[in-house]
Amino acid sequence: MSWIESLIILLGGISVLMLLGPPVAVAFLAINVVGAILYLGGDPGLKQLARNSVSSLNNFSLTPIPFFILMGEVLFHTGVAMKSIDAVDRMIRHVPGRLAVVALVAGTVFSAISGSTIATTAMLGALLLPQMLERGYDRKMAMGPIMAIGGVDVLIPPSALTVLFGSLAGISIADLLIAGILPGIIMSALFIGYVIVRCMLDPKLAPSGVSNATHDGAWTAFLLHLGPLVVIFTAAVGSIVMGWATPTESGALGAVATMFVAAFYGGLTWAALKRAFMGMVAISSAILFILMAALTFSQILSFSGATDGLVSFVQGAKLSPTVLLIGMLAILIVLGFFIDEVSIMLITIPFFMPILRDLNVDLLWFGILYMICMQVGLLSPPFGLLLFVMKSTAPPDTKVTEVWAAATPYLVMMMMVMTLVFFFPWFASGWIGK
Amino acid sequence: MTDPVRPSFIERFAKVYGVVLTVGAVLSAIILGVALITVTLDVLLRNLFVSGILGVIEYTEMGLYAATVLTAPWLLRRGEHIKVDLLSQFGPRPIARIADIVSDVLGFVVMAIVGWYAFLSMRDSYLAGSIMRRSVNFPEWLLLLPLVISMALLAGEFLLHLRISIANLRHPDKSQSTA
Repeated sequence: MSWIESLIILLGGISVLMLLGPPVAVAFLAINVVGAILYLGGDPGLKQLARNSVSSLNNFSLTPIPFFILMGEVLFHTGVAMKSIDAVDRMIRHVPGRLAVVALVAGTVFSAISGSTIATTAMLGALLLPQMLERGYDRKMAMGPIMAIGGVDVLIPPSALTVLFGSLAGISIADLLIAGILPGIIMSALFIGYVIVRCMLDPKLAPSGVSNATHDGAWTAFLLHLGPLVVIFTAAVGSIVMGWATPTESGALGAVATMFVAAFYGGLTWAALKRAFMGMVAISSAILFILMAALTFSQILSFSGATDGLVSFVQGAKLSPTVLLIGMLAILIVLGFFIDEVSIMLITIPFFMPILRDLNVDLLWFGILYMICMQVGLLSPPFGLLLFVMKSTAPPDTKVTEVWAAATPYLVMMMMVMTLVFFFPWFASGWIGK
Repeated sequence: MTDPVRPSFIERFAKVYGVVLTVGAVLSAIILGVALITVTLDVLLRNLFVSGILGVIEYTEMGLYAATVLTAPWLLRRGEHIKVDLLSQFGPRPIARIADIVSDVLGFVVMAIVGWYAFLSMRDSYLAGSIMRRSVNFPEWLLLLPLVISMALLAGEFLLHLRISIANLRHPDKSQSTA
């Protein structure tokens, strides 16, 4: 079977099945079964499929996902989050769409500790989305910034993904981390600017919940109620900086710190804790169950020769370096529709790096483009994983088309930053003198 | 015809089945809670007393996987699995109802196949005495057990849901929740 036929069967099959409406994980598992029969030798392949499902999730680097979600759930159910958001609200009460701005700022700050786009989106979704909807924010205005912040997440250090990419690609991790800062800040500023302008033009998108509140005592409230978040972030980040914990373990420390803070503020009741834990298992299982099936799907894609064929096709097409680079970035975006970032890296880096070195491409520059591209894929309708993460944290009656519409403006802005970096490499490697 | 007052056997069975699914989710929450405490203690012990808890990474990894798969059937009952709901939103109602049935049948078949092969793998591992050797050794069959349980429960839940989907197709005016 040719790689094109494999690609059509696997990607076409998954697309059709998803549209039928079963749980996404079931669609992936169904295609995995077909793939195991076609490419992995039937019975032995199906047994391997079962074993792969286990090994996909037997991964310590995934443990921050439930713990970061738990942080959000505890903050939300104990009322600590509401107080913090209120405090920020009062400080920036004249900024249009301020909660969406808070989501972007919080996401930028939170990205510094999570290293997982999916975890950040899940946590902010659980923490901020209910607050915004409760205050009458337009759903798209509420969901968009939470999903989009993933793009900033991978660029602003410390990002576990950047570390992984640097080690797999043989690029200086320190240079990669620093090089991401400027594009990350530009992207964040674009997002915030967009929110403010949209909400200025149409105030109905983000009603002002505290318009009658005075600025009196805003500083006291700010210090009193934002203190908890600072303590939590310090516990999580400080443990890494001090070398006490790995970024993965910091998720657990952050969650424990969150519970201590909630207890200190008198919000940690048994009922709140129970709701927080059940919320954690619901959201993290919905995400990780898809990941379990998607990781095996990516292995079958690779084993069938579809991934290899696609990359070989790009390599052998005798195209100019620019077109070749665009082709690679396009592959990353397409893979991002279906596959998580780690799998994309594992599949593509072994093929991409020899070609790039052969072309004498600035690897640092390409690394930044690579990270942005993966996020574009993760946010791209119809199948980007972040869209599904948001769908799982949004109210049950949220339509998938609303999630797509919410993501689209941010997707365009991400592509603008990608284009900027593509045509002006200075924004990636130049400004740090590389 | 179902008696509106007295629930039928299948309805009572579905209720009991729901309790089993909830037990799976509660167990998952406990597993992750224990993992949370263990990882935190490990970091504290490692920094205060040089050595931490042996096998904390392995136990946490296994806990994460077990919690994920044991919660999945409960999520299916609550309709909280992530879906692309294009057809149910934009498709004609009868087509959407048929798609519901197809989804349930597909879910049952896929879960049954994956569950069966997970069971065969588990049996092979048990008979071969396979061990996952890391800093803490696990019998491999034990790792596959939560997957077998999860797939069996999911297959059962898809079957129970199929009953609702068929009823919705036959009596669209009395549509039951497909959650």
